[in-house]
Amino acid sequence: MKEIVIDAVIENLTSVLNFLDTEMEEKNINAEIQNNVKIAADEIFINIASYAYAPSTGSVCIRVEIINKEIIIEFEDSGVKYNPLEKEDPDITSPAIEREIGGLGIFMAKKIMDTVEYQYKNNKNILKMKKRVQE
Amino acid sequence: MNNDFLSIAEEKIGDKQIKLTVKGQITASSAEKFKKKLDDAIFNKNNYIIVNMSGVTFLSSGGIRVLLMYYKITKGKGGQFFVQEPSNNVKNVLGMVALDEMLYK
Repeated sequence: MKEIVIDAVIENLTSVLNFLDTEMEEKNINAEIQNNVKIAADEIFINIASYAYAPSTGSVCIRVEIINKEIIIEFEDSGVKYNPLEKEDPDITSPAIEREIGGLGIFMAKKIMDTVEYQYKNNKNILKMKKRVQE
Repeated sequence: MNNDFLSIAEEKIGDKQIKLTVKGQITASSAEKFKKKLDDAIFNKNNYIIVNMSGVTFLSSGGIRVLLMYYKITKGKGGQFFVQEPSNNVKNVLGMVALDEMLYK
């Protein structure tokens, strides 16, 4: 398992994506899965960077493990208690012109990953997501 | 992979018509640059906007938000807004949220 502890600020998104790329490339994860996993991680990180410590800032610990044909990514922050999974899914059946602008990120993360779980433990938000790697 | 490269070239293709050719990664952070270009296009009274995304290797929800925002603004003014030649990644992501209708047919 590898981990980084980084300031939860939007400017650090590139570092987070690079960190995940390095791990996934090392384990020869195919480009499509790599890309999709990064879309999910992009959203989770940006949520933490935008809301967890606002208006102040704090850090987030990101762990990644690729084991038994599964990618496991965990985000842990000490910001305000917030479960993003409680957010209602957007209606994606209506035409684009009638759509709400926001709300797609968490929905996409849930769609991309096989599981996304949230727990609040020891004053920390812990979001863990898993994706099986196809043969 | 380079996770912070984003280039946007613009080309005037007619009266109030513009084509933006986007290359690289539209992450939550680089989406702001993309938004600024579309903002300028609207400010300059363009009502026919084509966004060529053949060179986009990563499209996050932040990028989709920008596409949707300017799709709605342009359509709301009676104009047209298309995504042209989407890369496989773009096609996959727009399909995931059922926004394929933005694609140029």
